[in-house]
Amino acid sequence: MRPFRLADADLAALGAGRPSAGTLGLLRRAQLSRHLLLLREIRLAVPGTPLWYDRLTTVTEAESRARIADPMTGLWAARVLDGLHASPGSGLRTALGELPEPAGHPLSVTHAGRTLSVRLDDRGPLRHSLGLPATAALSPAEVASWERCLDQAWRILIIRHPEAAEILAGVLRVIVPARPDPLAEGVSATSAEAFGAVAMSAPTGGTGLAVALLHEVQHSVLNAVHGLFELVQPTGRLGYSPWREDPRPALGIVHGVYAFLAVTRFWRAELRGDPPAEAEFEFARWRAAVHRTAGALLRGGELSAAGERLVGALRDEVAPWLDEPVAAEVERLAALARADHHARWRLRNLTVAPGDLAALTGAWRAGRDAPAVGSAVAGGARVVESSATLRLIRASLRGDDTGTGDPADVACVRGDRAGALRSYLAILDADRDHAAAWTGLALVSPQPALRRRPELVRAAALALPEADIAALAAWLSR
Amino acid sequence: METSQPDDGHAPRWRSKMLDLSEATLAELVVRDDSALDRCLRRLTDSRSGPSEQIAGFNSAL
Repeated sequence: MRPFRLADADLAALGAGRPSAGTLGLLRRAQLSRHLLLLREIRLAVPGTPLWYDRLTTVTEAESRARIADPMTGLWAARVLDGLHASPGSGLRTALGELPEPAGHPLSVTHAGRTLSVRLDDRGPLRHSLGLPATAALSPAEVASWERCLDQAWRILIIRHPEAAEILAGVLRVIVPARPDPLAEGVSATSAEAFGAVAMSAPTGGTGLAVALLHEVQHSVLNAVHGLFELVQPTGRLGYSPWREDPRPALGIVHGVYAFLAVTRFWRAELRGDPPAEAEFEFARWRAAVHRTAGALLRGGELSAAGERLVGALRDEVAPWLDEPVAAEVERLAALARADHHARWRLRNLTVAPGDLAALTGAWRAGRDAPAVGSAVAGGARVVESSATLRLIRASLRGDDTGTGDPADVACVRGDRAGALRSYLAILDADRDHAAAWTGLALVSPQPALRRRPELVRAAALALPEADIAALAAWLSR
Repeated sequence: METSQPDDGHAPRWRSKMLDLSEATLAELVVRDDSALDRCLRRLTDSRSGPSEQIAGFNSAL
């Protein structure tokens, strides 16, 4: 019984998203150890011998280890312990329940001699605890569709992403089919309690499934690392993550940046050969987001020493990618997509304190310079929000007709900043609280205040209905 | 688990507070009266009940 140890070079390789087979083995041993500890605690909490314990200790050692290491066993143990701590001493045996048998369909796909084996869990009772609403039991045709997509995804990974395929095969054990979200083309989630399990909506093809699996497996890997070495020293502060609409704690931002490291690497590798423009766009869009977010985390003061090592290695891995050539138009659209998300996030989640707003309006009406005021995170629940600008960008990349969109957004995506600026200001003349127009204005305005702090200009404009918005933005930019 | 610092030396290693129990069986651990196991479990449950990221996810509306 010795503490886990990890060489500094191995922690750095983890941060770079390139863990060795040995490091993945260590993470699996750490999860097995975690499950063993939780099961021991549950067993010691009851006077008799529960059926699950009998089963786990009377099968062969290999069978017992496989069952204990299963992601759903970790999930079950965590849930049972939560119940025990919530109501200690009362009706323990009935409260515990039984460890469900592994359920679902074993899927196995092989390409070039490498095999990926997973369980498609559409029946186990624990599948509802992975963070997304699970589907009902699948039909044979639905199972066949999953297997077909998994085969396609595995083929893509083995041919063009062999290192990522090794990580996937070393971690992924269970896929739980989830109901689709009408606002998203696909959703997926990973629980910190279930290393190697992911919940996701039905894929439509191999590429989307490959990206989603790589993304989710990164969450599992990071959860396992965080279980060994705390990566953050949280202050409770919430901040911006380029992948979510809601304000996020530092660990959530680390999760996002780590998952999108793998996504970015996937699209980078896809650029070899004859890729669609969308691959170039995804690479260009995420490489800068990952690099900037890693830098913000390193400057933010909430990472532990281990977290700094991991995120520093991540940033170093991505930094050379920033210099790789991408078509100028794709780079422009990628920057626009990032700015669109950031502006929408600020407008949704940041607020100006009433006292500061009063100071601003007083200064404007008195003809004085604008006083310095801050913006604060107003909080907010997780939402899934689609962006009209992003839809137009994607249509433009595919060469589809973009003329049916809002004329202001169409002008913005085409790069007609002056036309878009006029259109957005006209919309706001009619409706000062038009959220999408404020976002658009933040993308095309020459005024720094609007580009950097649209929530401030909007708050001032709503408090000063008589003021011209362009003049107000210019005043706040001085 | 607590964050550990790298050991000193030429080839620094990071030491976790998590114990490697992977060679033990569940039955062995249940009968073992060991305060190190209890401390390890306490850290594990503390980290679970603290501010953490229990569910991470992805949506392609991004």
